[in-house]
Amino acid sequence: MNSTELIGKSDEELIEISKKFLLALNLEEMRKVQNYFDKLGRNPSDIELETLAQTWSEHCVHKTFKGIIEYKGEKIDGLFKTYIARGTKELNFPWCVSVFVDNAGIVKFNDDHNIAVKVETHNHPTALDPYGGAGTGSGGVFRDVMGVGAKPILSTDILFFAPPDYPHDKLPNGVIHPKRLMKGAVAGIRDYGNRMGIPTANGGVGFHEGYLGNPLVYAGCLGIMPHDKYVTGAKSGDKIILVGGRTGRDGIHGVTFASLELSSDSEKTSSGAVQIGNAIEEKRVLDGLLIVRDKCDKPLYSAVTDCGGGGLSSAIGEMGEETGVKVHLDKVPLKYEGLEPWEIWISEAQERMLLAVPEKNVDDVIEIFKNENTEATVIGEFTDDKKLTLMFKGKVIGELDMNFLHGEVPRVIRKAEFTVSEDADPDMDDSEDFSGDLKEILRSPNVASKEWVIRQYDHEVQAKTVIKPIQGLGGPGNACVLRPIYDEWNGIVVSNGYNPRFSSNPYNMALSAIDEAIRNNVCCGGRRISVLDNFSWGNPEKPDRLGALVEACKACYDASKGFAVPFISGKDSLYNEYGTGEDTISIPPTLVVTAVGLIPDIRKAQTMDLKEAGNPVYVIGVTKDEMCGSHYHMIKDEEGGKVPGVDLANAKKIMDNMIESIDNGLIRACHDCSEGGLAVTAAEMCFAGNLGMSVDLKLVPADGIKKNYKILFSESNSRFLVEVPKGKESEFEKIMGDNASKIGEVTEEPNLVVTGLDDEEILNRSADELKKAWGETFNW
Amino acid sequence: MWVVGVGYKDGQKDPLGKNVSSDIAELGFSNVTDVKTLQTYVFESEISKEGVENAAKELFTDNVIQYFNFSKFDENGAHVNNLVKEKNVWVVEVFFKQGVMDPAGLSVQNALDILGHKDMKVKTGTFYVISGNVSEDELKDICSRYLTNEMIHTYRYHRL
Repeated sequence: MNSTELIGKSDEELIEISKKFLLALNLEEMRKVQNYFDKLGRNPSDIELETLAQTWSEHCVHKTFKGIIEYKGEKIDGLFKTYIARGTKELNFPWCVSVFVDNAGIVKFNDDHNIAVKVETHNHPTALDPYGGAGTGSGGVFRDVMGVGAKPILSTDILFFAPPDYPHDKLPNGVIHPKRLMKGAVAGIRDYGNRMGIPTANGGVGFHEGYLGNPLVYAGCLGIMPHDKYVTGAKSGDKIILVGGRTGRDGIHGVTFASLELSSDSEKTSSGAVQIGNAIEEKRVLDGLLIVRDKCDKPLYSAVTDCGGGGLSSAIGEMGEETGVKVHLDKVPLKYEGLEPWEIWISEAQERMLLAVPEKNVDDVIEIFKNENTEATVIGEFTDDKKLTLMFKGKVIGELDMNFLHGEVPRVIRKAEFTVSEDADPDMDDSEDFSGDLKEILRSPNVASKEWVIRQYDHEVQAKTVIKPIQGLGGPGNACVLRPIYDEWNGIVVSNGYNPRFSSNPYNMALSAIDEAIRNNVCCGGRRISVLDNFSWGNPEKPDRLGALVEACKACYDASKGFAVPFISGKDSLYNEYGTGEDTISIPPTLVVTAVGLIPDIRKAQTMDLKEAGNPVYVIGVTKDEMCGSHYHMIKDEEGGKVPGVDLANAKKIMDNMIESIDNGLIRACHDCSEGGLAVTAAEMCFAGNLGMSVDLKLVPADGIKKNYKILFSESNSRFLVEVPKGKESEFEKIMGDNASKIGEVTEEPNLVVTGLDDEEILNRSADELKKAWGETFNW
Repeated sequence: MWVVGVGYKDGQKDPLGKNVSSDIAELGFSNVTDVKTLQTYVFESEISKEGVENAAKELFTDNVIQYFNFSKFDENGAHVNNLVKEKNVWVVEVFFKQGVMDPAGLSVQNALDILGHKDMKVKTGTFYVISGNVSEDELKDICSRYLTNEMIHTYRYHRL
């Protein structure tokens, strides 16, 4: 056994060792390791050090979210526990089946089925190779959902890049141009999802110069499973079966190897930091897994998990935490010869899953996978000694106590600070005609049509997609609605929200993202909503970045309680900074919220296109003087003002009342007001229905705003634009109360006509013209 | 070792080539007049000439809109003369680096298995045939900024 001298080493030498072996362990962690082996009276083997480094990495234990943070005089005992999980715990809904503990969050769907859902980030691999990085991001999150025994039925993808027209001559060395990144990432997601037969029917693409060196990819997956097929907990004596792809040097210390030149005889040192996914292999694994799950009353396995970051070391380490495991690394099927045992142990080769299988079922399981043309191999067993024992060719090469491995990660203590500096909203002059501004915003990449992306994804496969991403004659949908079981009418509504342009006030930014995800869901008729949080942030060791994170987490708790929506799963990706030395630039802090709702009858699900001339149009909610981060400010190069907040009590009432209205048939079309405000919402509803709309700004409740541009383009939260069937006005108003205001009607003439505060016409454009502006940006 | 190149017949649209061509133009290389692409399959195991021809015809090529050529693989790249019919062009050969997953190559191996060629090793790649008044330096720039990703690809180029 190769061992590394730790006993008797000084602090400097410990740090040196951590650096030399790319362990990324800090001094306190190294001391803890030293102390452990000191007591054992021996030095650690290389594979033991690697195991500790993987298990204690930020990726696996989320040091920042579990650490202690000092912020404005208070001591926060774990962001995750204090702000993310606490709301869920206090709400304590019986329909939350499994939250935060397994590969995916699980909630009840109906009496027989559960929904499993997970969203992951795959940012760094995508920056290096967009096609492989984004594709394996999808592949990884599908396995997360398979890793609780569910069948994936929806893929979601939210991507962030620098503007696609970024000047080529300003591009820093080593950075891939955003347009090429976007084309590659979309192709990667398309190929993985389409080849596995999983519809990609929800997502988004956002743009900001801050993503130049760090594009973001959030890959999500939703699955469905019979509730009695959810098993967890490997038993002593169970065999460990590795299923799927073979193991190579994929992703080992990826980033370091990435800079080495590969040659035909350098397989020894070579490694793909990024891997091309093999969707067909994963499809075979899925098919086999579903047979193994469903062949008998109970699954033939007693636990299942996927191999993701950290490879076997993380997956097996977690599965065997309660029992202990013995792993024979020489049994792992390899792509090519010559791998060191520690390389086998931490390889991040794709398309692999692990099953814990009682001995009597082992032959059956192997046979089932063989019939699906995929390999299944026994590589070890679960023991009862609460130890991790690693074997190679009959010899013990590593032995660690599970309690030490999982229970004794030192907690980090970090300082955070953040001050929101908000000035009063600057007052610009009103224009006489806003058609130019509206078209410029429609053309801007955040708002512009993503049809080029959407049409590449198969959003119909599996034939469960009821409400699709592009609605009416071509308008952007709010959410997608799935009908997972063919002989039942109840469905699942999936939506998302994000607004990195609001990140100067991270508390309000997070509230806005959550409000947006929920209102998008409500637009289609979704209720009993649960949410997922995915943070991509800068370096948390810098107090201002961490302070912003604290603010956003506080908003998560407040919104979770305010809306009564539990967080059920999440993931963070930190250290998204670009540059060299001290001077690094952080991405805009980006919280993506994914909302999963239910709809009892999919026939009542709503779309956003206008339906019938003569129907009244209502605005729901109050438009406020909150222009900071708005798209209007963006096109006018203006920065000041307030970031939109959320009045949680009233917002919750609005959402509940909207659902009641939808259930009572009082809504024909419904679209939320977000990027570009009321004007963009109205324009999109018009061209999606090829009908017109007349709007009188005097009738819009606007908190005393005296400017037309603010009413048109403010991005205040909790607002909807709603078409109500003629004759149902009083019924609708009775349910909505003060929150609904009639501001105009649907017209036969397909023009958007807006009357300003002084009774003059300030906008009159045809739906066709607006649609053309909206559609031309990504006409690739 | 054998290599097969599959391209589009004259008059047929080459979607990848067209896409690459317009993206290169956008990068500012206005001298590029046309890009054609060949999907390339390298047999790294022993196989008969008939076996290669059969695989090219039955597996790799849509015989209605595509054609194929094949040749002995040459370490120095002389095979491009047999695969590419154009003259006065640059040909860029792009393959995955060793150790990077080649799913298409794996599928080909499975298919060959069914056709009776057991235990074959095949890798796939792409050849770009670039026309226009392009200097060698410009070509290198096109390769590194657009056609290849040094993280996962190896490439070399030839003048025909």
